[in-house]
Amino acid sequence: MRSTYTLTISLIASAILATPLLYYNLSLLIAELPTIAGFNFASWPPLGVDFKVILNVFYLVFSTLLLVPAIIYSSPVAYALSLIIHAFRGDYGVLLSAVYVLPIFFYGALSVFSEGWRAGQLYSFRFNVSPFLVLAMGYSSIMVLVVLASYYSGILLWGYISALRGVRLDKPVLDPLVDFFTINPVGVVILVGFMALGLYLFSEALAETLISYVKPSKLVAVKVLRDMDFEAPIKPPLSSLRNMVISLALSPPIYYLVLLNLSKFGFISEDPIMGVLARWASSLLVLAVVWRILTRLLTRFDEAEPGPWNVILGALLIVLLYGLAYVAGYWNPGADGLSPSRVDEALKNIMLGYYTTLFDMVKLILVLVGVAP
Amino acid sequence: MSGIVASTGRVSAIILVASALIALDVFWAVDSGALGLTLIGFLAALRVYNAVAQTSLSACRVYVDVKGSVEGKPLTVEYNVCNNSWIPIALVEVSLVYPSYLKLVRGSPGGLTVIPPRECVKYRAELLARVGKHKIGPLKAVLRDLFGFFRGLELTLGDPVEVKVKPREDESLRRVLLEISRSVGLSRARRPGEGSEFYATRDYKPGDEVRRVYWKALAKGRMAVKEFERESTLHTLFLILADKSMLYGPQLSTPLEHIARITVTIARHLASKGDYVGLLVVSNGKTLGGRLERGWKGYRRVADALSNIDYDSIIGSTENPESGISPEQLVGKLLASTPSREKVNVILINTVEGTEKYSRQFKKLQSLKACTLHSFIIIPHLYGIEKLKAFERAVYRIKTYEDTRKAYDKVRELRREGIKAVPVTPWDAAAKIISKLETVRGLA
Repeated sequence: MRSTYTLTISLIASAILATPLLYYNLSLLIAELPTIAGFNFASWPPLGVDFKVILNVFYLVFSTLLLVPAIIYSSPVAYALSLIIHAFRGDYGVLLSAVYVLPIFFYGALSVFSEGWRAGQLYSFRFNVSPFLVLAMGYSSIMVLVVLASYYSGILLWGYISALRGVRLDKPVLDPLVDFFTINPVGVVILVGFMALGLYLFSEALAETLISYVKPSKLVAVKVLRDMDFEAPIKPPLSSLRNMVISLALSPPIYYLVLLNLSKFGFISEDPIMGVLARWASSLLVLAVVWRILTRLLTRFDEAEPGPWNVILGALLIVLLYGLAYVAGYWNPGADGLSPSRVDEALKNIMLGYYTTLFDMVKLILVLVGVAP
Repeated sequence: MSGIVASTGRVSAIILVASALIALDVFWAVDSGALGLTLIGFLAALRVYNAVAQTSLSACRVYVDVKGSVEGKPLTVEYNVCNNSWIPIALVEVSLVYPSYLKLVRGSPGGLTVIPPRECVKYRAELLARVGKHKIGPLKAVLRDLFGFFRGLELTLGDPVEVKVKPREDESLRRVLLEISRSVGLSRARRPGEGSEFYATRDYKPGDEVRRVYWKALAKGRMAVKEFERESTLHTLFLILADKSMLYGPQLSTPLEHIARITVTIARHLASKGDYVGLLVVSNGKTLGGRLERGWKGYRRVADALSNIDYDSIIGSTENPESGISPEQLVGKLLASTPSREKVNVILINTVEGTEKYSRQFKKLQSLKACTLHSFIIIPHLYGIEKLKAFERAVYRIKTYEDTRKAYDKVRELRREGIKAVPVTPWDAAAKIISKLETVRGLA
């Protein structure tokens, strides 16, 4: 039960936290008013109207409006969005200023308190004061450690990414791809995204695994097990590896036919970089789809409870293969029947091409991370 | 939730800002990428701390203490949560699990707290005690970080405790009892017989015991013996059919609680007179108590049976007549509870619904002459009516009219079958039951 008292305090605190950004937004808006007043909207097209100013005002109004839910609901997300809008205006300073960024954390804390604090809890919770000084010191120390760890991991990772961006290869085939990940902003964003995700997932997995072994908790283990989905298939050992091997054997013809069809319909660019990227993407996508279908199919066989889905999924692979062969012109049902002999003839070359593409990808990753020259 | 700590929606705020900072660096060379990654690193580090704190929380030792076991008094529940590790646990959202029919009178049903390392935090809540058996606890705890970015698993701390609350004895009712019975101590029948109190002397008859010879009269030449006043002993079995209609009304003023107070007060009175007393409670197809015991033992058994009434089973009881104890079984239980040599007065207190369910069996029981049934039919909708304002009360009386009419119809039906039935209201129930018992005693 949220008391009126808690609600009022939370609203006041929210408003105080939003004040710097609100003040900033309003001051910019007021500064733009004389410019807007000078526009002549009566004529069409409007005379003397600078659309950049209009867009700027729109951003400012939107940013200000987002502060309303931020204040009412103590929402850090609404506040963060309000902040990010300034980046669209080209005003990057707001995102780098602690005065504007730190309230996100305070909003988080405020929403936790306003949701969790109950009327009358001061009576319910009793404790000695002295241990709380220890707690405050302990918690502060932990927070300092957390901040330091995050700061140094951030610096280190960014330094690594910067070093990666400086990589230059003297290889005509790989150069365009390396450039994509080092110079092309989209490629760099993908790279950084993977790195950040890697950092987060690694720390998450490391912490949970270590804790589970160093200090196992029966209560937590039981709770985790109970919260898991009941539909947990029993997988035989090394089934993933088995599926991978079968997928690698099945993927090349499908990949080849997909690529052939994409070229036929003009989806493969003539540009060397885009061409290589399209081939990579196709090879990975085909491998993922085949792997997924096979895993599903074989897991059901492993469970010894075959159902209609097994037949459907198996048939899907065959239909896909024949369908693509037909579209690509490799198979003529009238003449060949169900024996696409020309596909078999081309299989050897197709497999070689597919595995070369995969190998190129793996090689590039090794080169980028400095394992291979 | 797959892991032991999960992220909340608030994390997206930091991820948004971090992404924006990285994008600024990449696209516009603002030199903010490191800061963006630092924010992601902050989330990762915070998550690691939360996983550690979650493990410490699950390892906390919990001690439970409950004080208060009398109806209407505060029922204080105390949970001591002790953190044995060196890791501070902050913050923990705690909530107490307790039945919805118990009212929290002081404190909060939960809240936010922190648990310092190597220290304990005491959670205390005061509930209004209601007669019966209640399951209180455990504590549910969810770990949150200070910024609310992560949320741990919901853990249960400590075990639930079973609390038995005895009914409060009604002091005013005790005075009424004393006034009606006009005496304390053992009841006498005002007739000669077996007893300890001197009654009169009479002339000796052959066969009289020699030890009864009145020696003072013999010294004067008259052969007389002493006579003692016969002690009358009542055998009273209260039978309460606790169904949902018995829980109608405001807290502490429901028919069940009111009847429990009357029963325990009368049981005490009967115990002080050395009578046999017992209680049989039928709730959700199960029976409680039943055996007749003499004096204080009987009183204690009655109080225990009342404090064992399980509200959850009454509230969760189904209307399926096939479930639980059958009317035949109830009759069997009743007959087993009553000694064969003595006539037992069964004080049946119930609403019309309960009486209707077992009506046929009561008639059969009456015909067996194994006991004397005295049926008191209560009208639930009259309970708590005094707390309404005058106008509301007047409107509400329209609703209670139908109930009252049904009760009177039932009484007439039972009387035709030879069962002594009477409708009672919250204001006259006690007096009518006591009067009936005293009338029975006078006839004994």
